[in-house]
Amino acid sequence: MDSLLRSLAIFAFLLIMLRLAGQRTLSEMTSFDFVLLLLVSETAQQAMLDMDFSLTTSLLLITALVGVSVVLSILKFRFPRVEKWLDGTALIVVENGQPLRDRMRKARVDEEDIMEAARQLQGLERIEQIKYAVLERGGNITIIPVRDQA
Amino acid sequence: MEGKHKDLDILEDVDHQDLEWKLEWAGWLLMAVLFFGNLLGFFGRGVFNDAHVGEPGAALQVDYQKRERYKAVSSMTLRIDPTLAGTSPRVTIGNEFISKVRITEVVPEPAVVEVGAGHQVYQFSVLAGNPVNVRIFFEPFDFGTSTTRIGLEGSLQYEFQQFFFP
Repeated sequence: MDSLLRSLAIFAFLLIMLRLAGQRTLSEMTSFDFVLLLLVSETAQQAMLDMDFSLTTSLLLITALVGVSVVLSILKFRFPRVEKWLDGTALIVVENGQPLRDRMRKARVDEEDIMEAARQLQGLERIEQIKYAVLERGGNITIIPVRDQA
Repeated sequence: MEGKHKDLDILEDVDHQDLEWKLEWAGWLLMAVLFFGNLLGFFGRGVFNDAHVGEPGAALQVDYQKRERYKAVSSMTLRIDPTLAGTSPRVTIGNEFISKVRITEVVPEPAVVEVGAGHQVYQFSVLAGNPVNVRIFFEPFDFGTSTTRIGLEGSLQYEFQQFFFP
């Protein structure tokens, strides 16, 4: 019971911390992010298991964590509001070649991030060639180019 | 406002996003408070957590921490003056504290340990002369508040609150 409550507390805490980190933080993992992930998982493991390394506890906790994940996915499917809070929402950051600077500042996305995505995904050269740039829920940026008028 | 964009098939909710950004800032502020609180010793050794009971020159004085953490080994220091407490001082520790911690070591080792109603008694052999320090190392295995009672049997008794974080 103790381990289960600790694990659920750690799960909820990590979820909140990752949401606080923001969408862009999640999208690209640098070496620093990788090290941070390793350290966080080590710290979380100690708090979840305490000194109980029994097979039974491991299986019970894995079952509980996967179960929570399943329950959350069902809740997200049935209640769009839950999905918004857990996963966030997509956000347009460039519209018809114009950067929406207030949104970009709050989302901590700069023009260089957008142009990098534009070059990588669409081979575009200038921001005016972008019809829409969308900051997706996972933190990546998708680009919809201006279609050439026939 | 939530709704499909006029041109792009995407469900945006700018109001919700604004609320999220505000909560993000509030969350960062809380993280900063926790970080600096931890740095200043709110959760461990430090100016905000170290506490002392007992007047200078008393037979017994106690240095302790107001807040402890579950399973984090910590210690309490008892300063015993043998000129006032005698050379075989009997230190009593209340059961409420004992029931929440595992005492892992007492340095120096007591000569006798006895269990009484509502408390345990640790008797030490102390050379006559200057005050001595006894350190009690312990590990909390429960969380919540504890009214810790420590004193000398039949005389000085101290009572203070401690909080054990989960």
